[in-house]
Amino acid sequence: MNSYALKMLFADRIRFLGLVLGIGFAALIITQQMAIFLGLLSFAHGAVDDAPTAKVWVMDPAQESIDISGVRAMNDTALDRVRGVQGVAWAVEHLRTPLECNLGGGLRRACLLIGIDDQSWTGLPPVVEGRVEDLRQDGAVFLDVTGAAKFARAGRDLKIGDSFEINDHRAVVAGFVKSKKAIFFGSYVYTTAARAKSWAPSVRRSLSYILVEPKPGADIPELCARIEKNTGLKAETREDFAVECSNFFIFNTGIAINFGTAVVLGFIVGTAIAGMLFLQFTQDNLKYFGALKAMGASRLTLVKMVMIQAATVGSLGYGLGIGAASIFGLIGVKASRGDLGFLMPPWLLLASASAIFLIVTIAAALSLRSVLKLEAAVVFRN
Amino acid sequence: MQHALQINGLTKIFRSGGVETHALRGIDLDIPRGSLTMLVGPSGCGKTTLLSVIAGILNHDSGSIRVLDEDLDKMDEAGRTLFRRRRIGFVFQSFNLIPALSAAENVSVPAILNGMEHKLAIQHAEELLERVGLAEQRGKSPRDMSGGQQQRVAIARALIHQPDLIVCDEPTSALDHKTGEQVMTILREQALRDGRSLIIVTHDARILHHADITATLSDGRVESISTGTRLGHSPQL
Ligand SMILES: Nc1ncnc2c1ncn2[C@@H]1O[C@H](COP(=O)(O)OP(=O)(O)OP(=O)(O)O)[C@@H](O)[C@H]1O
Ligand SMILES: [Mg+2]
Repeated sequence: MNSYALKMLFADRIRFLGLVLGIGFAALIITQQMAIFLGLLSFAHGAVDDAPTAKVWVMDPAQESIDISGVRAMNDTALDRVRGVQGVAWAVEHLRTPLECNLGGGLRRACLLIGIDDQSWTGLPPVVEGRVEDLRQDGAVFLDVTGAAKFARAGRDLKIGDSFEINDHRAVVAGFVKSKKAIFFGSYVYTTAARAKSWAPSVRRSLSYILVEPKPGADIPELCARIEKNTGLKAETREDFAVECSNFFIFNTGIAINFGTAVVLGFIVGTAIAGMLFLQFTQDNLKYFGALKAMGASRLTLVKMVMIQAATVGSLGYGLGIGAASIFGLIGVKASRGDLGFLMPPWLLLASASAIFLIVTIAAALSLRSVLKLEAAVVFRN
Repeated sequence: MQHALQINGLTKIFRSGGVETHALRGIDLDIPRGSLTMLVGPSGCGKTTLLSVIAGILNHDSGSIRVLDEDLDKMDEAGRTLFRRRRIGFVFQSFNLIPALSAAENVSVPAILNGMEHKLAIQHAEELLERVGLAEQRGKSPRDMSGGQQQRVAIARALIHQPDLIVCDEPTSALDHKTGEQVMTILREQALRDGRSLIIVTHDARILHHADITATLSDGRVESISTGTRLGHSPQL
C-alpha cells in the first residue's frame, strides 16, 4: 500500500508542492541561520586558527578571548618562567597591540600590530606574496590581504616596497599574508616580536601571549595544568582557547539570541505550514482512509501510509532546504569575499534533519490522530 | 445449513450530546448463504446501521449476531478488522474509489491488504475489470469515469479477494435507472457466484425484483420478510 500512499500524495500536486516548499523553507531558514551563526563564531577564534602550529596558548589569567576582549599583557619574565616548565619543548612570544597606522595624506586607520618569533615564525599566516625572511629587514612588515584591501578602499593601495607609519615608526611592506577572517574591524600588520615591542608605546608589560610547543609525547592538558600551577598564568590548548573565544563572543553579545530567534521562528513557521497542509491533505483523503479501514486495513497499514507520505515530503523538503542553504552559502561567501561567515559542518546537517524530522512527525501525528480516530462506519454515511 | 446471517434481538443505541437514538430495537433475522437479500424501509429505520453492524464496522449494544457462522461478539477490534479484510466485500453509494489510483489499482486494494503481491494483484484486478466490462478502462482514474463505470469498478474491488459476503449500501442511488439496472445485473451475475451472499440496502424500488429475500425494516425492527420477489412482486415501501 506504500506506493499507493505515495500516489495519493503526488496526485494533489498543489498541496504536495506547498508541503515540500514549506518544509524546504523551514529547513533553509534553520540551516542558513545556524550556518551564519557558526561562521560568525569561527571568526571569534580566527586569530587562534592563524597559528595552527601553536599547541598551547599561555596568557594573563584575566584574558578571556583573543582581540575582541582587549589584551591584558603579561610581565616580560613570563616567557622564561614558561620555558622552565617541564614538558615544554620551546615557547615563543606572540604580541598583539592595537595601534594606528598613518597611511599618509592624513589617512589614519586602526590596525593590530602582531609581533611574531623571527625564528619559528609561529603565528604567521600563509604568505601569499613576498618571502618570510624579508621580515627580518629593517622596518619590514607583512600585511594581511584583507586589511590591505581595506587600506586600498580608503585610498592607499600599498604594494611591496611601499612604506607608511605606525606610531611614528616607518614600516615597509615586505609581503602579504592571508589571515583567517576574524571579528576585528582594523587591519592586521605582522612584524617581528622585537620590532613590535620597540614600536609600541613603552609600557611596563608588553607580552600578550606565549605560544608553546610541548615535548614529543607530552600530555597537553597535563602540561597546561603544570604551566598554570608553576607560573600562575593561564594556559589553554589551542582547541580549548578557540572554544573560549567563541563562548566569550556568545555570552557578551546578543548574537546567539538573535540567530536563535530566527531558527526558532523557522521551526515554528515550518511546523505550522507543514502541519496545516498535511492535516488538510489527510482530511481531504479521510473518506478514502475510512474506506480502507472498512475494507480491513490494519492500524499499522494506515500508520505506515501516513508516515511514508510524511517522510517523503520531509526528505524532499529537507533536501531542497539544504540545497538552497548551500547555494546561498557558496554565492554569499564568494560575493562577500569571505566577509560572510558560513559554516555547514555535518552535525549542523544532522541537527536540521532532526528539526525537520520533528516538524514532519508533529504534522504526521496530528493527521494520524484523525485517521485512527475515524470510525469505519462513516463509509456508509453519505 | 450454512448461514450468512443469524441475528437475534440485536439493538443499537446512538448517544450523542445527551440524545439517545434507538436505531435498532431488536432485530431478528436469519439469512441462508448464497442469497441476495435486500434491506428496505423508510428513511431512518436503521438499514445502514444494521448493515454496518453486519459488516463489522459498528459495534452493537445487545443481542447476538453471527455472520458467516462467526460470532462477532467473540472478536476484538483486530479480529473484526481481519474478518472484514478476509471475508467481506464492500460497495458504497458514493463508490469511495481513490481518484489518485487507476481503476486496476483501486480494484487491487483488498487483495494487497490480504497480502497478495502487487503485480499479481494488478493482474487479478485486470481480470475482474474485464468481467465487469471495463477491460479498456483499467488505466483510467475513477475521476474520468461515469458513475456507472465507477460502481462497476467498485464491484470488481468488492470481489477481488473472493469474500463470502458482499455488503452494499444504496449501490444504485447515485445512478440513473438504466445504469442502475446494469450494475444490478453485474452484481447478480458476478457477485452471487460460488455460494457467495449479498446484502443490499436500498431505497430504489426499481431494483427490488433482483432480490431473493426482502427484509422490510421499520423503526429499528424487521417488519416483514418476503422471499422470491425476484419473480415479480414488489413490497410496499
Ligand atoms: N452516528 C450516529 N449518531 C447518532 N445517530 C445516528 C448515527 N447514525 C445513525 N443515527 C440515527 O439512527 C437512526 C437510523 O439511521 P440509519 O442511517 O441506520 O437509517 P437508514 O435506514 O439507513 O436511513 P436512510 O434510508 O435515510 O439511509 C436515524 O435516526 C439516524 O439519525
Ligand atoms: Mg442509510
